[in-house]
Amino acid sequence: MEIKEFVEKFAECFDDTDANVFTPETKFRELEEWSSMTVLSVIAMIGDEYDVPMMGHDIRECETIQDLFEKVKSKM
Amino acid sequence: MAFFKYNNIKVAGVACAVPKNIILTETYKSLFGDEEVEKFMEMTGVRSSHRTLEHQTCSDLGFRAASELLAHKGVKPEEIGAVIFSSHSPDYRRPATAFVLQYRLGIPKEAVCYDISLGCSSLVVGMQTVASIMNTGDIQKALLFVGDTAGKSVYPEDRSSAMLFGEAGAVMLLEKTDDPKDEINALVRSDGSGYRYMIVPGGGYRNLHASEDVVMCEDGNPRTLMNSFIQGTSVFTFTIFDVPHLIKDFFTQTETTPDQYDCFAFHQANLYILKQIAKKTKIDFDRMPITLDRYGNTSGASAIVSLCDKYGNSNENKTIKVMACGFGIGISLGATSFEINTADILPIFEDDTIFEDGLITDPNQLYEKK
Repeated sequence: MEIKEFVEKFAECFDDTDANVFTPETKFRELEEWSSMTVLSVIAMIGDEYDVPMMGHDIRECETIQDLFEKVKSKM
Repeated sequence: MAFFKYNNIKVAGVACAVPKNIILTETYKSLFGDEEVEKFMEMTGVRSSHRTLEHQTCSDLGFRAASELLAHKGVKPEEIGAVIFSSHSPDYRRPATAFVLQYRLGIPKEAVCYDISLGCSSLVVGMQTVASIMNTGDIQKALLFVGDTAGKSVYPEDRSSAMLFGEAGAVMLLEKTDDPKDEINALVRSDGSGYRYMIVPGGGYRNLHASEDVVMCEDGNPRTLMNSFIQGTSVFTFTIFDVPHLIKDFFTQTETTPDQYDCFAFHQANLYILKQIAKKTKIDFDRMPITLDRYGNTSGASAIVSLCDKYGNSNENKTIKVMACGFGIGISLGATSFEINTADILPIFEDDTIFEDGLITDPNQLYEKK
């Protein structure tokens, strides 16, 4: 899996945020659209695309999209 | 593992009741803000729900449902050999609520009565228990009660749960038959590693006199130890991984395919979750009746609420093949399949009757001669 592709799929989980905003270094919690509902879209996307179950604590341990990417890779 | 198959037992009827009081989800806008409430409604699908009065319980609702169902079927209370109340919302810390329902319905002393402590999976696990009792004993007819008043444990300003739950009581009548084609299948699973994901941490015997101070929790919601906590992200992950897995295994074990079922009476967790589950299991979403929009997440009663909403007012008299699925607190999950005649699915009743004799507000009421 590639980080570029992961960032694109992560961006698709958001409706109102411009896709150009997302980079590996993006601290996702600081995005205005980040909420208890967007987190579910992200978990569903990671489940669909990578078949990895992300639990609440997995997400809490991550700060950037790159962190999430590494977490998913470590659980594959 | 934990797959069950019962022959010569059938689901003879289902009924449910909800309280009259309707809360519109949009009325929470003044508390949580327009955007938050709109997003919540879009994702969960909950636009209104019915809520009980202060002293009204789900056994009150179950009592109405059972009274209607017994009358409809022409079954006398003396014919009932088992009363199982499967719920997380008992009338008392003890005794079990099944005894209160036995007494109110006039079911004889020869019956076996007890409670099962379960929430969203209470119907499917309850069916497995009742069918097992009937399979190994001489009981001909049994009543299974399910439902919760989950909202009563939610802190009113908890955005994660305040708008989600509706309240309902439901009942299923199971009957022994001479026809081996009458068949109930059940697949049940449990994952105790998630016992903290959905929990009311205080008030049990681990912490009987827990503090009722309001604490601002890390997820930004205020609660006390006597309130229900839901770790939404972990629960969501469980529902989109373990539940589809269970459903696929159920199809394999029963050698059936999704197109062989007329109706998928699934626990109304939330709309987003149900769509995810349908997509992952290739179940036709149109065959999954939805009641979340008008009744909210009615916990263990929700599968019957959905059946009653879809078929309760139809005049058709046909046998349908149903798959029911429940999943949630425990973590507990299960699936069952059965056939039922649509004429034996009653419409949803609205009721605010309270069992006044059961409300003890002064200890000396217990010493009154009745």
